[in-house]
Amino acid sequence: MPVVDQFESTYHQFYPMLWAVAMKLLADEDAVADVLQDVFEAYFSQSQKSPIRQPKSWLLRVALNKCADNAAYNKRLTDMSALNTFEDETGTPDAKYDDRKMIQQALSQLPPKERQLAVLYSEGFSYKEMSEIVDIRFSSVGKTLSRVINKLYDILKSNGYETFER
Amino acid sequence: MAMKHLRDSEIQAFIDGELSPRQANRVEQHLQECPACAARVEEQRAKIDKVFSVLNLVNNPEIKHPHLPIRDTKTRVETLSVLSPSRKKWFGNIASVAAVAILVLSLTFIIRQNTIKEMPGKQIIVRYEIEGEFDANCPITEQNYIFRVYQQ
Repeated sequence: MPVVDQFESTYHQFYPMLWAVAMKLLADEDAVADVLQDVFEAYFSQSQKSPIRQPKSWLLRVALNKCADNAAYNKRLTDMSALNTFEDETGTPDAKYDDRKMIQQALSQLPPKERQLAVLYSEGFSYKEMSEIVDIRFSSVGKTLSRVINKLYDILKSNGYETFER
Repeated sequence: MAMKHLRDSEIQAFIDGELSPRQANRVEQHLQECPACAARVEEQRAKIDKVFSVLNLVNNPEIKHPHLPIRDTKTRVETLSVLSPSRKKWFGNIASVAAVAILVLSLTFIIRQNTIKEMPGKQIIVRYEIEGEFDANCPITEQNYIFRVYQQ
């Protein structure tokens, strides 16, 4: 079945990238898996109705929206205290988990579009792609990114994240 | 100084390689004359590196793809030319049986169309079997059945 084969190659091509994007925004493996399943289901049913010309942009737009709908996305005020107590609660420090939480917390302090932009930027998207996916003017991508980088830098620094002291 | 200092957006786009060749040229010229802007570029570049290095802690090269769901959730049609032990299942749901019956008819028709020219007068017998359970939580279009057609 060519439709399924095509779907499968899209799936394998974009899954890792979408995973990273969603993980930065949600910091929760289950939530990420849920979101990505929804995204690919939507992709599959949409692609049966009419062909999707730019799968990458389409998938990201849907993924970002579904992330924003997810409960984990707005866990902002569970806040830095969650980070500090995490090791105590489980007894086993999990560096990877801490990193994810840390990133999600830092990003959640940005306005929605800046937050999405930061994630896409870190995934190496071009200005053109970012302006399409996040729906901001191409000419203001550079300015916004400059601001986002500075904000994030300050947030991460004030959180005393270890990478900054190395 | 011959020209204005660089804007933040220009510095950012310059670092990201998003300026047109002409703009980039202009920025490079300015940077040679202006140590203040050159310092700003270096400062921004360092910030980008730091932010990047933190954000990309999340990137995990060993992400395991979950099993692709589509293969299971859509109705599959397998056409086999060999007989295998059959296991017949019937369902109370009339709609699902009706849907299957339509499939059978259309498949039978297709197989006839494809073979009848080569074997005039020969009767083609097709047998089918269905695997799967009716899931009351899904609409009829999303039921999970495996539908096998055997040509004898």
